[in-house]
Formats: sequence, C-alpha cells, structure tokens
Amino acid sequence: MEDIEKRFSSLLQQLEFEKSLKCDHEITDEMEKQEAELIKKGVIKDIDLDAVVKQTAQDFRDMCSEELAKFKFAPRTTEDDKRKDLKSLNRHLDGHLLLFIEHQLGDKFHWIVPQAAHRDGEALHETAMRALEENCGQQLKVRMLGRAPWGFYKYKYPKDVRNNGVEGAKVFFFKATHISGQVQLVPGRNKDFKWLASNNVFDIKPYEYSDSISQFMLSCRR
Amino acid sequence: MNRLKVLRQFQKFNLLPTLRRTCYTFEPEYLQDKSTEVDSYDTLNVQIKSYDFPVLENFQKFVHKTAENMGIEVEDCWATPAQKLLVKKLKQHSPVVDCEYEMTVYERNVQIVDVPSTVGAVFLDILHEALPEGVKVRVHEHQDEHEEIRYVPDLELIQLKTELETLGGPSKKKH
Repeated sequence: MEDIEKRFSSLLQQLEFEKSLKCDHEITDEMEKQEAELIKKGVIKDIDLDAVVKQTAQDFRDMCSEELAKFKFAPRTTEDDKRKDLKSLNRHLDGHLLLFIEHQLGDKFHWIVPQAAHRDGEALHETAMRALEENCGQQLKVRMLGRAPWGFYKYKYPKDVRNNGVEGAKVFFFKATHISGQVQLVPGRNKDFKWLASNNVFDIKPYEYSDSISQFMLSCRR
Repeated sequence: MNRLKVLRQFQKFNLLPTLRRTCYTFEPEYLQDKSTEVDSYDTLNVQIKSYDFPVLENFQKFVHKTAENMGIEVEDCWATPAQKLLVKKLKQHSPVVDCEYEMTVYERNVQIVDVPSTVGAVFLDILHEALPEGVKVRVHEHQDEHEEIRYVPDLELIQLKTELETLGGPSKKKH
C-alpha cells in the first residue's frame, strides 16, 4: 500500500473503533477493575467471597490467549505443494487448478486442454464431454457449466498438412468443475497430464492459446 | 423521416413500382425460429452459510450486486435464523472434555427469478470464483419448506392444538 493509503486506512480503523460500542466482556472487565481499585483504596469494605472466587474477565482473557498460543493452524501449503507434484489435486488450495494434457496433434506432442474432433450431428457440449472421457478415462467426474462454449481459438495447420480445402481448426472451450476422481490417461495419443495452477496458465505455449483460455477464467491474471 | 416524405412525393407521381419496396422493412426468417429461444430457470435460492458474520454479509451484497449487474432479477433476499452449535473438544483418548466452544452458523439467502440458462452458467461460475474463505454456497430451487423455516413457530398455538387433539378433536366438525 502507498503511504497515503496506509494513513487513510488507519484513520478509518480508528474512526470505526471510536464509533463502536463496548461488548459485554469489556464492560465486565472495566467494572471489575474499578471494584478492585476501590477495594484497594478501602472504599468497599464488605467483599462478597463467592463473587471473588469466580473467574474474572482478565483471567478469562489470559486463559484464551494461552489457548490461542497453543493452537496450531492447519497449513495452507500441503505436502504436494512442497513436492511440486503436478499430478495431485491436493495443492494450491487457495486457487484454481486447470487440467492440461500432452496430446499428439499431427506428429508433435503439445500441451493442450483435452480435445476431440467434432462429429456430424453431435452437439458441441457432447463433443466436449466425449473429449474428456476419451482422453482422461471414465473415473473423472465433472459438472459442466452450461452447454454453451466459453471460449474460442483458431489455428492453421502447417502447410504440408493442409489439403481438401481444410486450412486449420477452430477450438471451442467448455468449462467444467471437477467433482471427484483422478485422470487416467488413455495411452496412445496422450503422453502426460498435469494440473496447472491457474496463475501459471501462460506457461502453456503458444501465447494465443493460453490467452484465449485466460479470457474466460477469472482467476487467470494477464 | 425526410426520406419517407421524398418517397411519398414520388408515389404521388406513380414512378417505378420497385421504389415502393424500399418503404417495407425486411426481417430475416431465422428470428421467428423457435429453436433459438433459451430456457430459463424458475426461482433459484442462493443460500450462503458461514461462521464469519462480516464476510458473509459482504458476500451477500456482492451476490446481489452481481446479479443486478448481469440483468438477473433479484426478487427477495432474507436472513434465516442462525444455527447455534456447541463444540466440545475432548482430551486425547478419553471422554473428558478439554474445552467447549459456542459456534454460530449464520445464513443468508438471495432469491433470483427468471434466469436464462446461458446467464445462469456464467453467474454460477462467478460465485465459484469469487467465493471467500470459510463461506459455503448452495444454489437450489425454491421450495415451500424454505419459506416455512423463516417463520417463528407459535408455541402457544401448537400447545393448544395438541391439547385439543388429546381431548378428542373440535366439537363442531366441518363437513
């Protein structure tokens, strides 16, 4: 934060503190402290013994702060985070993970999102579900977020592959949230898979591909 | 407007009939095609629960504002009475109570009406991405029981009714 932002936020906090009301704990604490002072001075002579035995507000506060010191918060980074195991889902708990597969397109392997060619008579969202099943196995359970595509990317095939008037491909992206299960790669066209943290989506090359993915992902920053 | 006046003047002089067709509007046929109409959800309740009160209230404000910005009609938003839990922490390997905590689960509901299915998917995704820590979201269709929970039960009335039933029902029965 800038200096002026710090000063302003501290001013707002001070204002909020001054306008706020005291809670029960604070009131009892103050009253007990006043009583203790008066007893010291000797103003109040008859002390109610039962009242003295019970826990004062200050004791309660000390007990609570002791307990807080003993309490261990659950770690935010898991073991898989430290090991940088890209295949596990138990990482990056405060962010999102995106599935990428090393898929064979032509004669080279590229890191892409699970992809399948559209067949005639099939709806686009059905192609998307089929792409996931064919490449990642049956175990992976997902919930599709709507039947309409979320993103779009087009690319041209290399010149030696272009024939019969087919210049390239148009890729439509669909979004789905993971419910349960892990990816089981169907061997052949797939070499490897990884769950990439959504902050690192631009590690995927080419840039235009990851850019078109980041367009519909709120968690991917440019 | 000027063009229409000029065209009407031409019509008076009975020029080529093709000029008259320029007055008509053309609407492409696919606009009447029913297959492009989008279904919409009836009434959905976005139920938010959390232990942390200010975070919850702020998130409810966010949900309401986002819905309004996306053109979704927000019909109603209400707070359901909090659920109070007593959590007892036991000492290891024994039933002795170490300490007790009183936790309250606060709840807020936002009711949205007539959401087109295309917009609904985007809205749900935004809720996913913007969900703060410690807050649970559940989106479901509105049912009568959700309405019933909001009302405070009249214990006196229920007690009198049970007494009446034990005594043998009302004296005058409706036919």
